[in-house]
Amino acid sequence: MKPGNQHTSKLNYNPVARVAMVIFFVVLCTIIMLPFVSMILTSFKPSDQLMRDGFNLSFSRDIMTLENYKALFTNATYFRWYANSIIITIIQVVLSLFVSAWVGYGFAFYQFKGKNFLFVCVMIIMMVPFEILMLPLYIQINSLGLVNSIWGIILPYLAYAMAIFFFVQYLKGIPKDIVDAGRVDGCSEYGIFLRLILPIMKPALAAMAILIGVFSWNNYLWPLLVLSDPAKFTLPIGLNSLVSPYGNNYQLLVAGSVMSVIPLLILFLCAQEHFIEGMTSGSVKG
Amino acid sequence: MNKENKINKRFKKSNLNKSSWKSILYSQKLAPYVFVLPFILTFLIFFIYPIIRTSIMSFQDISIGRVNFIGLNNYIRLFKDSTFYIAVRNSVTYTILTLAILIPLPLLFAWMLNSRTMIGQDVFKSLLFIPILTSVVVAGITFRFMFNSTDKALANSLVILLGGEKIQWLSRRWPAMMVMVLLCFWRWAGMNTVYFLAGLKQIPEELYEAADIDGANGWNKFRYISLPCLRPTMIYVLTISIYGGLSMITEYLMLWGGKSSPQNIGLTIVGYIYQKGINQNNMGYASCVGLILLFIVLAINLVILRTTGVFGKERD
Amino acid sequence: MKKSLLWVIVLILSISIIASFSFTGCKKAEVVEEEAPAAEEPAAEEPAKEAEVTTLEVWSFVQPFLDHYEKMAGFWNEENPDRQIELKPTLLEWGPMHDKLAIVLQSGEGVPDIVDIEIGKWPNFMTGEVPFVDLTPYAKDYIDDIVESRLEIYSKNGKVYGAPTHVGATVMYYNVDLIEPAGIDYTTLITWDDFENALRTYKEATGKYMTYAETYGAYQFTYLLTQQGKDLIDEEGMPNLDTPEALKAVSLIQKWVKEDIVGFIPTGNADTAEGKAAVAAGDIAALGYPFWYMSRLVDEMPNLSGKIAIAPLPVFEVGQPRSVGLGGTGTVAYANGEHADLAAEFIVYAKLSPEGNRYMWTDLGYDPVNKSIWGERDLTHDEGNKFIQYFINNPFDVLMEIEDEIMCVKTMQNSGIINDYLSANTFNRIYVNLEDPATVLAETQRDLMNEAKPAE
Repeated sequence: MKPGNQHTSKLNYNPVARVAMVIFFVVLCTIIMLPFVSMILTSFKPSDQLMRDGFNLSFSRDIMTLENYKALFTNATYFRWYANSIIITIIQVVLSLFVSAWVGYGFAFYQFKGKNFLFVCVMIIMMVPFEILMLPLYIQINSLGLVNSIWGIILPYLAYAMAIFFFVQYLKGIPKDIVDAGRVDGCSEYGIFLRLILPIMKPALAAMAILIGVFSWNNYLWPLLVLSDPAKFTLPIGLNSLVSPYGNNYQLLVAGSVMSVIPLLILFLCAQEHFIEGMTSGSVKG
Repeated sequence: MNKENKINKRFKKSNLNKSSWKSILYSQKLAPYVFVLPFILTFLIFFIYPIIRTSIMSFQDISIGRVNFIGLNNYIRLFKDSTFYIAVRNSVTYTILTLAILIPLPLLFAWMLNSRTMIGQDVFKSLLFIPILTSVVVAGITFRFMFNSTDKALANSLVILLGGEKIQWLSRRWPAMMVMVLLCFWRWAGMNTVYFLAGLKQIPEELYEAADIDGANGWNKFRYISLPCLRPTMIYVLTISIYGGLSMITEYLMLWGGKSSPQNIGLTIVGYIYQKGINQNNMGYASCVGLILLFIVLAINLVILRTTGVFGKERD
Repeated sequence: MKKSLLWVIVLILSISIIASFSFTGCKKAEVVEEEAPAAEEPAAEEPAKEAEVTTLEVWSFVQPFLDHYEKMAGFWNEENPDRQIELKPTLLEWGPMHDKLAIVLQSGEGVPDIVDIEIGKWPNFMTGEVPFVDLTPYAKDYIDDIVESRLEIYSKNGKVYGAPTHVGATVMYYNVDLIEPAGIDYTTLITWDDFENALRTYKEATGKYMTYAETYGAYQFTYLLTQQGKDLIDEEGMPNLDTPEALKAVSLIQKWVKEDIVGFIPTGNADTAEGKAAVAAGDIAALGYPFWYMSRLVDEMPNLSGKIAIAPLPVFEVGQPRSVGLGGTGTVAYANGEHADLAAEFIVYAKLSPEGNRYMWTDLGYDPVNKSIWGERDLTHDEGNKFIQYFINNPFDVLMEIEDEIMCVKTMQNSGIINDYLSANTFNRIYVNLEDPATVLAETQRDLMNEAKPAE
C-alpha cells in the first residue's frame, strides 16, 4: 500500500497516541464483529436453542454440531435462492454500471439545454425514498407485464441516480483534452465514451460495482413485491421465509445467513484496493 | 465523361448517406441527449408517473376489483390518525439520532485512520466496512436474536455482566429505538468512514505542511483545514443519511418479524405505508401517507440544498 | 502474490458453487424423471381415457396443510381417475404470503388456484368484489354436518367463500408436572376466582408465573369477552370496545399483573417461535389456547409429552359458556382461475368431507369441523394416535363436554384493523404500562372508529 497524503509528517508521530488509537480501533472492531461471532457460533448450535436463548457467545464443545450446515447443503431450495440472487446481482451490476456511466458522461462532458434542470432531477431521485412510491411503481411494473420477472426488479434501478451522481463527480476530475483528442482522431461521440472514457473510469466503476452489488444482493422489499413465484425468490426473501412460526426451519436460517455473506465478502476483498481508490477520486468535489 | 459523372454522383450520394449517418454519430448537439436519455426515461416512467398515480390514488378507496373516488376522505382520516403521528415521530426521531451518530463518529474514525500516527489502517477499514455486506434481512434477524428478551441473549447477558437488570429491548420505546439506531450504526459506520476517508485524501498535503510551519496543532488543523474541505462530503453524507432514515422499513419488519411492534414503538412512516397498503390492503390510504412523506422529504432536502448552496454551485 | 492467491480462492469457490448448482440441478431432473412415469401409470391402466392431469397451484403458510392437501389429492386421484389433479404446493411465511396474495389479486397475475387465508387476514380480502368461488353449491352434501359458526366466519352476504380448517375451540392447557407439586388440582379451577387463587399459590410455591398476560393477539381478551356474551364488534361490524364487559376483561388481567401473579411471554404471544420456546421450557404452566395448539405441543414440544392436561376454561360465573372458536384458516379457490371449478370441488373434498376431516384430526390434531365424525369412538379414542398419547386426558372428551358452549366471534370488515390496533396498543398500555383501562379502551374505540369502514 502506497502512502496516501497523510498529513502528519513521519518524524513527529506520538507513540502514546499511536498505541491509544490502535487500542481504540481494536475495541471498536471487536464490538463491530460481535454480531458476526455470535451468528457464526449459533450456526453451529442445535436449532432449538435459538428461540430460547437468542444469539450469544457461549459455546461448549459437546453441543456444537455441523448438522445445520449438513441440512443446508442438502437443501436444493436454498441454493436456488442463492443462484437467483447471484444472477440478479450480476445482471444488475453490469447493466446499471454501464447505463449510469453512460448518463454520467453525458452530464459531465456536455453543455446542453436543460442540463441543470435534469441534474437537479437526478438529485431529487437520490433524495426521495424509493419506498414511498412502491405501491404505484408496483402497479406500473404490473401494467408493463414485468411482474415476476427479474427485469421488473432491475429496470427501475437501471439509471441509478446515486451512481450517476458519483460518475459525474468522478468525471469532473478528468481533463476535457481527452475528449478533444478523441474527436481529432476521428472517434464518434459514442466511440469516445466507449474507447477512451470507460477505461479511465475503472476505479470509479469498481467502487460503484461494490455499492450496487451490495444494494442488489441485499435488496428485500422491491423483489418481495415483484416476485411471486417462490422458485424465483432471492436470498433475503428466502431467508426471511425461514423465520416462519409454522415450520421448524431455524437450523437453515442461521447457517444460511452466514453463507449469504460470503459472495459479497469475496467481491469486497477482491475489489478492495480499487474501491478505496475509486471512492477517493469520485468523492464529492466542492 | 457521362459515365464518370454518374459514378461521381453515385459516389457522392453514398458519401452523403454515410455522412448523414456519421453526422448523427458525430453530432455534438445530439450526443448529450442520447447520453442522458436513459435517465429521462427512468425519471418519467419510474418517478413522475408513479407520483401522479399515487396522488390520484390518495383520493380513492381501492379494493380488489373496485375503485371509488372518495375525495378528501383519506386525508381527513389521516389527520385524525394517531398511529400516523406515532410513525412520523418514530421516523423523525430515528433520522435525527442516526444523523447525530453516523456523522461525527465516522468522521472521527476517518480522521484517525488517515493520520500518519495510525498503523494497520487497511485492516481496520475493512473490518469496519464488512457489516454493510450483510443484508438488512440477515442483520435484522441477527439483532432480533441478539436483543432477545431472555437473559441469555448477547445483549442481556452483557447488561447482566455489567450488573444491570435484563431489558425487554424490543418492547420498550427507547431500548427499541436504541436497537434500531445501533443496527443502523453497525451497518453504515464503515460506509460513512470510507466517504470521509475519501474526502480527507483529497485535501492537498501542502495545506497541512503550511499549517505545520505556522505551528498549528492537530485540533487546529482538523478545525481549520479538514473540516471546511470536507463540507461537500458532509452534505452528501447528510443527504443520504436523511434518505436512509426516512426510508427505513426493512429493519422494522425484521426486528418484529413482520408483526406490529408493541405500541408501535418501531413503526416508521414507510412501515405504515406498507402496513396500510399491503398488510391491510388499503392502497388509497397508503398513497395518502406516501404523498405526505414525499412532501416532508422534499421540504427537508430543499432546506438543505438552499442553506448549503449546492444548487448554486451546479449552475456554473 | 497475495492477489493471485485471492483470485485462485475465488476461482475455486465459484467453481464449487457452480458445481453445486449443476449438481442440485441434476438431482432435480432425476426427480422429475422419476415422477413422470408415476403420473403416467393410471393412464397406462386406462388407455381409453386421456390422462389429463390438471395442475393446481396451492399456497399456504403451514407446511402440514400442504401435506394434507397432497394426501387428499392422492385419494382424489384414486376416486376420480378421469379428473386427475396434481398440486403445485408453495409454502410462504405467514406475513409475506398474505401480502403477496393481496398484491397478485390486485394485478390478477400469478394468483394461485387454491390459497389458505388466515382468519386475521381474512377481512382484508372481503372488501369489494370477492375474487373467490362461492363454495356452497359444491359443499351441499356436507354442509349440514359442518359447525355452522365456522362457515359463517368465512361467509359474506350468505356466500361461503372459505372452507374452515377446524373449530378452534379454546381450552386451558395445564402443565400438570409443574402445577401439581405446587398443590394445584386443575380440575377444581372452575371460575376465574379459583384460577386467581391458583396463580397466587403457584407464584408463592415456585416464584414463577403460572400464566401470562397476552399483549400481542387478542385470544385472552376474546374468550374473557365472549364468556360474558359480548363480541369485539357490534352487529354492523363496527368496533365495540368501550363496553363494561371489555373493561371487566382487561381489568381482571391488569389486576393480576399489578399483584405480580401473572408474567409476560416473549413477543407477547404463545404462538410465535419465541413464545413456543418459553412454553416448551416450562415458563408457562397454564395456557388458554384453541384446540389446534395441540399440534404445536405434539410436533414441536415432545419434551412435554405426558405432562399436559386439557380442561375447559374457567368462567366468571358458573353457567357461562366455557369456550369460543378462535383462529382458523379459510381455504379459497380463485374465481378467475382456469380451473376454478375443480379447485373448489377439491377444497370441499379435502376440508369438509368426513374423509378429509378424519385426517384433520389424526394428522394435524385439529378439532374437525365436520361433526359427523365426532361420534366415531375408534377415531376419537384410538390409543395409537399420537395426539391422544401425548395428553393426560382425552382431548375429545373435553371437546364433547363443551360442545354446546363453543361461542363464535364475528369476523367482519374491521376485524383486521381491530386486531392490529389491540395488539400494538391497547394491551401494552393496560398490562405493561398499567394505564387506566377505561381511558385506554375509550381511546381505542375512538381511534378505531376513525379507521373503521362501515359495512358494504
